[in-house]
Amino acid sequence: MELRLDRLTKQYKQKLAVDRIDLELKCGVYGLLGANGAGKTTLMRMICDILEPSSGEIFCNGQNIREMGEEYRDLLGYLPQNFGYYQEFTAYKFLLYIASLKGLGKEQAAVRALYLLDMVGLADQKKRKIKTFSGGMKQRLGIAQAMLNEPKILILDEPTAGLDPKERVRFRNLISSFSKDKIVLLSTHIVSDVEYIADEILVMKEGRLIHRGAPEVVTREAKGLVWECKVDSRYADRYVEQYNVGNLKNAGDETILRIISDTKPCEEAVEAEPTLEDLYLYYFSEEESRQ
Amino acid sequence: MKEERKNKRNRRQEEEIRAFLKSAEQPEIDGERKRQTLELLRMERKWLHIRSRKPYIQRVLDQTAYLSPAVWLIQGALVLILGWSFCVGDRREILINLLLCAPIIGIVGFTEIMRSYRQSMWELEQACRYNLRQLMGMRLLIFGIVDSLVACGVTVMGFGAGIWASELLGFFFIPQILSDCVYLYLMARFRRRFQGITLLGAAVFMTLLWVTLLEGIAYDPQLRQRIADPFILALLLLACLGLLALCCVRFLKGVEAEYCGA
Amino acid sequence: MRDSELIKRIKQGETELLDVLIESHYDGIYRFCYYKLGDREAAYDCAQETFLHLLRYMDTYVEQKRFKAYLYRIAGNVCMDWFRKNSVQFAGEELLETIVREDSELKRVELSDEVLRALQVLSPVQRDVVILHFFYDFKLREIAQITNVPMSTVKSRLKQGMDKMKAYMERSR
Repeated sequence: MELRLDRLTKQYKQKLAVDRIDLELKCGVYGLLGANGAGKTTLMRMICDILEPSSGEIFCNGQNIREMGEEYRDLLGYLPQNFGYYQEFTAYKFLLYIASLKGLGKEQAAVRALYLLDMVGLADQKKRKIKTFSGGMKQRLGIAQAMLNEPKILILDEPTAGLDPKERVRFRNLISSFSKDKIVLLSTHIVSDVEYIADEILVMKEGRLIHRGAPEVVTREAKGLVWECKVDSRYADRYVEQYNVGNLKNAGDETILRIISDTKPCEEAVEAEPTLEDLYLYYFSEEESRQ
Repeated sequence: MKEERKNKRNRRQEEEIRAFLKSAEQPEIDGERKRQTLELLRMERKWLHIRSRKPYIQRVLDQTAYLSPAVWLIQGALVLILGWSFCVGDRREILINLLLCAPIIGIVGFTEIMRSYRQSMWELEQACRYNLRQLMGMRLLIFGIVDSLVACGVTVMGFGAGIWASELLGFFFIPQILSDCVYLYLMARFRRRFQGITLLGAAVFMTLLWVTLLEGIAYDPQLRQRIADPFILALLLLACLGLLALCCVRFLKGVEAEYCGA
Repeated sequence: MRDSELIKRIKQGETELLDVLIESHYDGIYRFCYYKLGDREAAYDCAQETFLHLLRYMDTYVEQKRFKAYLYRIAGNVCMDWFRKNSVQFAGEELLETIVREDSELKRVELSDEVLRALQVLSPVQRDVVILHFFYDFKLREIAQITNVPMSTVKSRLKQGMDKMKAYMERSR
């Protein structure tokens, strides 16, 4: 399975949402990192053939996806960032409905629906109406529907939003086990979700792909930019205002700060080993503070 | 002149190169190697799995099962009201009931059709194999068939109650079809921002409009005679059906506009 | 039976017709790889790989009456991958010189015949266009589809390829 994006661009009246992205995706898990408004959702919508690009093409196994039409969507599984459900449907009926739109036969749909409900831990809730579900349960149902047609290309937009830590671990395991021979592209703010399962990280900023590589390689970008220092708790706020602080931990009279900065923030600061989270903050702290 | 000479020269060059290249001996193909490759490919081919398409009728029937039961109940209730009216009402009451029901029948179906937008499912459905446009088309077809059956029922009941064809056309079919056209226009216009209340407001407006129109016609004997001409009514009916088809196409094309990020 | 007819039936489940489809194109694909790579063994391997790719992608392939162009595009990509893996630098201008000197020594290139030597003078992309145009009589529009570049690029590559061929033919006379 191979997906190739060729100078993909989306221009809205006021904004260039995606700017000439060239990308080749082969089997594996790709984590798409970027702040809100970076163009992640727009990019994913174009890959799912929901949105027409302003220019550029997408090829799946050498064929233009627009020429492939239905056959391409047959390979896809998509979880949008925000979507409603048919609230009066039960979880099971909802999956059967989506399965019918995905072209599955009745028996096959029933088997897959039950299997996936079990996988995401909703087997007991299958007869309950979706309007009674919590946010986390709805999200799990969303992940289940994306996998109904055994997609070869799985696109998940913020899939872990609303999941508690236990559910997030379950989700990570689910994706890891699923991703053999498939392309999985998931976008997230929550760096730890992709740090351990992604084969490759794609960093997106203002519509462009600014960096890509294995998590360790991408993280190395932040080498020499991460510092840990202990400061008097009274002055901790000053540091927070002045610098990009990744983490803050109170230790009695002192506060341990993890600062991302090009220059050493204070005498006592010690260089720390960067994590992917630090890299994310390095690239996106301005955007985040603007939100 | 220069251009012609240049072209001639290019063509000659092409011919020379072609002759030179084709002078090459076709490389011989080792029969055994070829046979081995074909055998390997035959083995690989056996693992191929091609997912065939569900027939359209099957898909439409599948969709029917997922429509809201409330739709059938309300439409059934409307038909019952009309049926009861045909049985017990006098001519005037029947005609008023027909006129009132005509715009309402459409609301039920179209509100259901727009469910994908109202409940924010459109994005997910658009990414499915049988995507949003096909889905909308199927829903339109289902309600088209249902409305046609209702129309047949009303016709039979109407004739049974002594209502003329021209009255059925003027008090029911034409108002119903034109109301549907208005609803389709509104649906195409608002799409994602669509609310059920829009159709309700439109239905009220349409009802008032028909009542006013028909009162106007009732007081003008010449106009009444002309309109009551079966040929004119049939022409009007055809024109309305044509307009309805156009509105359906426009609505479905509007689904594609989502695709372009409009 | 025409390609589009075969594919239509294959997609409806008669997958054994794939054998017929493959056999009808095998010779052409082998020869394409041979002219492109200049090596018989590599050509057998690449031809096999091309059809394996075809099988792998068959369930997603959508017939648009351009099957031949699609197949040759796969073959072109497979050959490019072979070039990359075997880090072959195309001989190009240097070859033109060395041929004249008569003591050329080129690894991995089986120069069994005059035409093959001529083709090796071209860059891989020029070679593609020349082979597809002159051996297979593909139109420029089809070559643009196969190689996934604009028509203007195809025209300029063809012109450059023809100029180099002409130069080679003149020097070796």
